[in-house]
Amino acid sequence: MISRATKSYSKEEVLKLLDPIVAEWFSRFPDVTPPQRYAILHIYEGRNVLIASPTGSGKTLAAFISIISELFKMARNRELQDAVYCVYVSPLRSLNYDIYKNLKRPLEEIQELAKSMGVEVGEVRVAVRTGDTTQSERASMLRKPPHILITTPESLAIVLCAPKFKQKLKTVKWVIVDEIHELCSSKRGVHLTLSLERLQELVEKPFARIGLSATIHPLEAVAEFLVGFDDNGEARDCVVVDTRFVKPIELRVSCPVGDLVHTPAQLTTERMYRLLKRLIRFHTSTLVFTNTRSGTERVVYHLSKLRVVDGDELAAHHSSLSREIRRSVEDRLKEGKMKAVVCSTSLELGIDIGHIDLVVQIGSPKSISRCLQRVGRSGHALDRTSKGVLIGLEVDDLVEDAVMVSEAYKGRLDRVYIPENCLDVLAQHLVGMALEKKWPVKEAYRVIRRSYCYRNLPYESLKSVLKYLSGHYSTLEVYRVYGKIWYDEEEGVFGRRGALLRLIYSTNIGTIPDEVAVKVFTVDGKWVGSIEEEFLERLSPGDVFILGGKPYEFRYAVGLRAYVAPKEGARPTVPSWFSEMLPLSFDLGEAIGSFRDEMFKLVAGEGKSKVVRRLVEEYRCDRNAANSIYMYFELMDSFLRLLNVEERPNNRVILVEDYLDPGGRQNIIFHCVFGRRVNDALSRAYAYALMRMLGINVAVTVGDTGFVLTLPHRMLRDVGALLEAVSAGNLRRILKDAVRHTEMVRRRFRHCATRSLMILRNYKGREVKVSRQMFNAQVLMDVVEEIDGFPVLEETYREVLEDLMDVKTAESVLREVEMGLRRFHAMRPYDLPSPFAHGLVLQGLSDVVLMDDKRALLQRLYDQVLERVQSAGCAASQ
Amino acid sequence: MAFELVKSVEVVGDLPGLYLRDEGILLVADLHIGYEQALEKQGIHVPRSTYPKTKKAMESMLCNVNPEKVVVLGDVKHEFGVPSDQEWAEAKDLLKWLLDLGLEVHVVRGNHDNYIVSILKRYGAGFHNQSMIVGRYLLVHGHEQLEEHGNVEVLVMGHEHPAIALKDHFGFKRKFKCFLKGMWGNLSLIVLPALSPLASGSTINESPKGLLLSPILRANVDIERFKPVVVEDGAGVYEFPEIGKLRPAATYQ
Repeated sequence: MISRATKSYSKEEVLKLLDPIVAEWFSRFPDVTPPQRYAILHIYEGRNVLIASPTGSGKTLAAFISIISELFKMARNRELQDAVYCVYVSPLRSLNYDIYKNLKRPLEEIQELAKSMGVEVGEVRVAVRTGDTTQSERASMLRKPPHILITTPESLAIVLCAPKFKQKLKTVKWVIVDEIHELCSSKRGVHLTLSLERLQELVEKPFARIGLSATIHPLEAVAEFLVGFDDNGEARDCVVVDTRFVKPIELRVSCPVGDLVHTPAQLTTERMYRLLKRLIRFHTSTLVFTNTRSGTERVVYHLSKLRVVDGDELAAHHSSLSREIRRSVEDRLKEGKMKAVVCSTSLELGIDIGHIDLVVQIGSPKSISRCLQRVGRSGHALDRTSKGVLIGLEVDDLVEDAVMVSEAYKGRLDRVYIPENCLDVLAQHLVGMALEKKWPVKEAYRVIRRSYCYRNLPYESLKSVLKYLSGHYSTLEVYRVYGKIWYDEEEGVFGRRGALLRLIYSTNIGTIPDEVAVKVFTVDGKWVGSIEEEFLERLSPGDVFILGGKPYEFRYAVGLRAYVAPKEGARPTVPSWFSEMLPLSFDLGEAIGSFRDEMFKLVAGEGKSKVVRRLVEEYRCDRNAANSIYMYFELMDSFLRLLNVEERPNNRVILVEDYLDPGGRQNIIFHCVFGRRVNDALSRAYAYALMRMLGINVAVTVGDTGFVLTLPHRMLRDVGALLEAVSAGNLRRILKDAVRHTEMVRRRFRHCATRSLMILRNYKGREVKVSRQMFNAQVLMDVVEEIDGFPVLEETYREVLEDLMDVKTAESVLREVEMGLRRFHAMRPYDLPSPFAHGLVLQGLSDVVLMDDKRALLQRLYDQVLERVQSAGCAASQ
Repeated sequence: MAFELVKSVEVVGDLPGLYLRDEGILLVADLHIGYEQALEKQGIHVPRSTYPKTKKAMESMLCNVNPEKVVVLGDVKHEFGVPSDQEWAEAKDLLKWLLDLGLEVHVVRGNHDNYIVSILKRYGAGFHNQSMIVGRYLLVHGHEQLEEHGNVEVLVMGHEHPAIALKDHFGFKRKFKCFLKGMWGNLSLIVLPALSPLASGSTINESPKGLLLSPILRANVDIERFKPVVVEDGAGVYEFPEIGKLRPAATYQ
């Protein structure tokens, strides 16, 4: 059962639990922090505990102190063996070394303290094991295993299969999972849950699990993710320590100009830097989040040009920079030497970054939790207020920021999404399990289902993965040769096969796919950003695409470098299905929907000053921001009145525009602030339905606040018929057909195939190039498409529909439409888009849903080519 | 109705095969049997499926034109080296099947076809090391430059795996396998698309001439004036305007 920790313990009470020497050391701290007050006793008593608390609130020490105390007690009694007692897992390698240092020092201090008190205590060892750990380090770790092992999810999975080292894990009593908020929403986390269950099989007694999380919601689900289920399908016990809101926080929404809607972008940008300059000057150390890497580079460039601070007090930090550079920026931050650091998202997590007194967010952080996490990086000490300023440069961002801030003050958070039944991760673990021993399938099923992510796994799915791994999907006469594992379907057992398997497993483990970013430069050599290799393949010279919010014309590519020319004001000519931006969370989207409702009522009923005051007081907007938001709604309201539309787009009404653009294209624009994951699903389903109705390719544009379906000319007369074509009942089926031949699915298929060890990233000690992996994936996909229920392909569709998109929520939205809780309102055709549609219209196409009738598709392409060639011929002869 | 590329040379249905009507010959190229096993050796597990597909395509071609002879224009098998188990088994199966149907079978050697002679000999199929001349046709694989040949009118080759990329009105790109039709000196030249379903093809209208695979196409021909003829199973045959007119509207090449 999941329960909440309700009793807080004083410092004295906590100290009493600890070994006297450790207590002596611990009493040096002025006081125990809130997570320590609630958590230490439970950890001392060996319970599973989830601690959710902001960065810097002492939760790591809360987790470790009773463990250290126990280990010292054992050391004193000479009970400490050469074995691992505590495993600490974190997704960040950089965090691992920090934790190592932060443990090493107290352990040494306690050791010295004991010595000074004349007590003879054996050493408590701690060591880090990651992919970087050398062969000799690993060998010495085997001779003298650390009592506390610091590792990553991937390395944990490897040691579980290391014949000798895994013997040293039989003594594990505690497992600490750090940054669980980051892990639980990814396949890395899914992977870890299975490793923990396998570790559980290995150890003699059940170990206690301690999860450390930043602000996240709902805690009950995260706790179940941490502790899993017992063999009877009951969630294991877990005590939740909720100190998420202990740190005072101050948030403000700011806008550089008084009327964002009518101010030219260049002026807005100038004013933004002026505002940023002031904020940086008025604070000791400022951390700026920009969401994208290109944004980070741009901001740093301008700040240094403006000479806001000394050159060495300003730096960029993002994942494309080398580890040394990042490390040096982090160190200088910690030492208080930086006035301003600008990052994409890279400093959101992990390592202690010292005394920051202001966090600035440019644009929208897209989720309440992320907003709190980022702003929480400031105000180092627990009693210091975290201070954040959110700067909106586009009205939709301002609206998001305002609603986010108000929700945060109300203590509302968006729900985390945890992937389930991932068959690719399962395949990888089944190979690992096969390496360990011969397994009855039923027994493996019992172990797997203890993971939260697989508690509902159908037995048939497990069998299909085993069939795939053992090569049963190949033609009968050759399958014996190619199977990775051996599987006897009749007897219901599986095990290892082949001498190479262990090497393949340990060199291909993990869930993060290889990516090769194609670096994009202007023709005169300036770095612009990066695109995916798959996207480059789709580009022809002359194509215009959007990168970092700006249009560029593709000129040529040399290897993994693409050269472009800035094409200010040009419209993209190719759909770009990738987005550098994180998707808006559905919960925040819904809150924006009700905000829209409130605002339209206010705009209709109250004067401007009253509305602006409300935005300032309730939504923490500055005057500029409040003004701009007011103007935005006012403009939309007038537009709709002009067209005699009585409905307003909000959380119940999905307004559907029919906009004919200057190019003669028909754009069906849906206004629904469901976030990109839900809108992605809805848009493609409607596009597919439209494609079927008209027999033509349909382009989609997907955004957080809505989506657009584009037709080459006005072809759809009856929008109502389109709205009826998709329902909660048929959404999933339609969607699967709609995405079948997209680049997105091919790309995800490659990822799933590498995770499933179908395409190896490393074979016989050789790296397989990504381009090779890509080519192979293409080939493979064509082949496996014809095999019914092939698990790797099934997983690809699951991942696209459930993880990348959010088909479940999309279904429930449509169900609500069917129940009358939401409704569509279709507008008459018009040759202007509404103000709310501007962002979407300017964004450029996201993807195309292709005709599935090959003959018609080819015929149409043929006609088009002829038309073009003929018109070119006419032009030439004139 | 059959689609005629040049006089008495027809595309077989909407499949990547050619029928030389005056000689009763069915031509196919680039089967790449054993491709999956080659991938397997690189650590990629591919369920077997291409051979049955290849065989099925051959079957419908045979039913369509009812030829006397079948000539494979090279790359029957995929591996450069010693044939793998799969290659042996499938290549043997294919030959046996064709011969049992009473067909005369010839293979013009491709760059992947080392070691295949013994199989061909054992089954009594013809093997042609560099080229095969039948009537007015010169048949080659296409990986080597050619000497002048007298008395032929049409040169037919494979090797290039030609395809073209087409864009719809939204800029979405898609690739289609095609034949290429043009001139080599005063001979008509026809390039066959690969029969192997795993070979998706190289996009002729997006590759600079220098990057084409075949030295024949790189040197003596004006590829811009070649016409692609797209074949798509179940979707028909389409003759497109010249490659030069299908190049992307580019400022740079």
